[in-house]
Amino acid sequence: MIRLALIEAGRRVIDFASALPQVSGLQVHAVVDTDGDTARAAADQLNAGVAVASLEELLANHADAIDAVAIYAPIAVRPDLACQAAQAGKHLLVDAPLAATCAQADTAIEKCRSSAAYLQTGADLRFLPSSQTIRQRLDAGKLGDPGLVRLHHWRSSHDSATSFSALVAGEVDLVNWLYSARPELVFATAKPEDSSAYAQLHLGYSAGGMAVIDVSRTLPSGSAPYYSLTLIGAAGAAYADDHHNVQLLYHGGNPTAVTTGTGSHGLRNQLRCFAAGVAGEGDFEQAATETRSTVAVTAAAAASLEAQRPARLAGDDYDLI
Amino acid sequence: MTSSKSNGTSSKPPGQFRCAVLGMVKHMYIPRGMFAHPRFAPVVVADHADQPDWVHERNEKYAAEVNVPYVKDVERAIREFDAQVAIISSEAERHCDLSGRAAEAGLHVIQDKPMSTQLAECDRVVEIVERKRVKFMMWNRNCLPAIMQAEELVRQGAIGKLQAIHVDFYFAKDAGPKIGSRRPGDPPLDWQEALKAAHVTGADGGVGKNPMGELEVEGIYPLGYIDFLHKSRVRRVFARTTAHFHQLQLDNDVDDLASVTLEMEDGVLATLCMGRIGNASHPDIGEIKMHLLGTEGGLVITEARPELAVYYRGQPDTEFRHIRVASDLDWHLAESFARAIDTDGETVLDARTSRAICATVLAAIESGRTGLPVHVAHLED
Repeated sequence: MIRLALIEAGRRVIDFASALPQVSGLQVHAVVDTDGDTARAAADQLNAGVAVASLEELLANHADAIDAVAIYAPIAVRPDLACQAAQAGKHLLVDAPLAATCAQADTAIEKCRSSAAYLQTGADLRFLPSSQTIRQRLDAGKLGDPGLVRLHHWRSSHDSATSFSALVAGEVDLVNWLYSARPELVFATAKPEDSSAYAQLHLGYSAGGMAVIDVSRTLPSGSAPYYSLTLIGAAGAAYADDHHNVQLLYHGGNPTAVTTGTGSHGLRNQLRCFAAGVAGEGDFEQAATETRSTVAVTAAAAASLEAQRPARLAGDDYDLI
Repeated sequence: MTSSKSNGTSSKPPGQFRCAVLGMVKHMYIPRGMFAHPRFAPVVVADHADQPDWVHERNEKYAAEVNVPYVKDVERAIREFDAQVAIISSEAERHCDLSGRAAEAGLHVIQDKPMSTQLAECDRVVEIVERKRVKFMMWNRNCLPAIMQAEELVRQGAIGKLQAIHVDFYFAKDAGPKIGSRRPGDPPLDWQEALKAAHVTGADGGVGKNPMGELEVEGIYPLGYIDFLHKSRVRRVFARTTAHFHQLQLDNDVDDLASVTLEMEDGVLATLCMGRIGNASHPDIGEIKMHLLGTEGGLVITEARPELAVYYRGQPDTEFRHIRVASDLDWHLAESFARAIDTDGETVLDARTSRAICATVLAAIESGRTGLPVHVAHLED
């Protein structure tokens, strides 16, 4: 059994509570949150025995009670938290991106490597049932080489993204994963007054491949999220679109769209993958490479946004052109 | 209606417009669409005498279909048949030549896409149309029911102030053999010959001497949507273009898949993804959608709706399973054009706007080649 500590998971606690019963070999044993009441409430909800205010406190007093940490803290503190946890020999599931810069990510990855700690980027989108199915079809050669990935992801203003990087990292991870590569060209645009609320990424992959992503957290409060993924391959295409998955509710006036969602399947799949990785079935170097790629592309996008110019892949990192 | 070739401000009651069809060499949906409206009637088909035989043959065939003469002299046809409206569906590189001649003669013009392969030609037509005060309309899809609904919802403020517009425009037609099918030693596929051969399926929108990518041939449709929804000029574009599916596009160094980021002058952002993705990639004509984000909500629109599904044993692979219904696109375009003439009003997609779209497309093609953002060259700049 992998005993997990959940660090600043916020509203994700609800998803964990829903997903965990279907994940074998993984339990939440501790909750870390700077707000004591939040930590205790989450611990109660997840039947976790430990609720503490910091990772330091957790490692000082309960290190033997956990095997792994899942970090959802703000990006600025993720690298330090990751290094602390890895130093203590804990496996890591870290929300994307792991860090704001490649240097920070490299330090954390090296710490994991030297401590034999498994590292997985906690990116939900690639674990959605639709993404998994598309990737299976790609791997089976049914769709041919991907030429275009088109992704719309709109959330409400209560979404937890607090920065441009937090807004786009999960989408970057997904597209890189579908291409099994990172882009050679990155161009970002955003809502001028608030790049953490709305952003567009235009990515160019090798052999003419391309991806266009728009991410928003501007939907009115209380709105259900909207998600659409289209992948156009040389031999076929896949369309995963919430528009196709709504029901109609007639209760006077125009009908209301009611979403038939996929529940917590994305997190469930992600946790199963993490559990397998910790159990030795994962490829640390591949996971580390993917983690770093997400950081590098997200950082390049932030630089592109700032400079209003594209960034081109040069070696391991990106240069503005 | 009698022979008024003025700017349409005549006080005469609405009547039928006498139409000259010029350069009728590709798909026939434009004249057919216009002539389904009672206000428009063909009186002559015309083209230049120096055109090759295949052009004359197609003109003659269409003239026979609508039972009017075919005249190998454009100016004489306009003059002798007292035409008031020109309908142009020639090769793209001749569009503006024919439109310019017609407008110069005082005819209102309906033209197939793209406006031209050269921006200078667009400029010339804009100048003539505005100087002669005739009406010009690029054929477009803005009057499809779902698009008109989207425009109405945006105009009513259903999603607040528009912030971003995203258009996906994937036509699922094949464009000949797939990439990799040409055998070693075989010559590259000839663009014009291939497009001439595509006439039988109606997939010959890019016919002409100059190869054109999907962005250049079809870009007017989705960019027309963006203009229809939000009247702001495109300031700068960033694009990726590639030949991903078809040997014809690869051999002729043009795209069949493209994506464009558009920055508007008023700060609104937009993206466009489009491609000729092949029959295997969609069960119908293709995936065509709009995603609109406003300050107070979002709107997702499928262009094909309303539609119905029909499946049956032995159904041919080439038959669409989902059939669009209740689309009065042709009627709306013809009706609005007639109204623009009657009232000296605006057309759905006028010459100046069409020119701006052409400039946007050409900037996107340049961006795709260079990997750099490109500013759009506007007429007023």
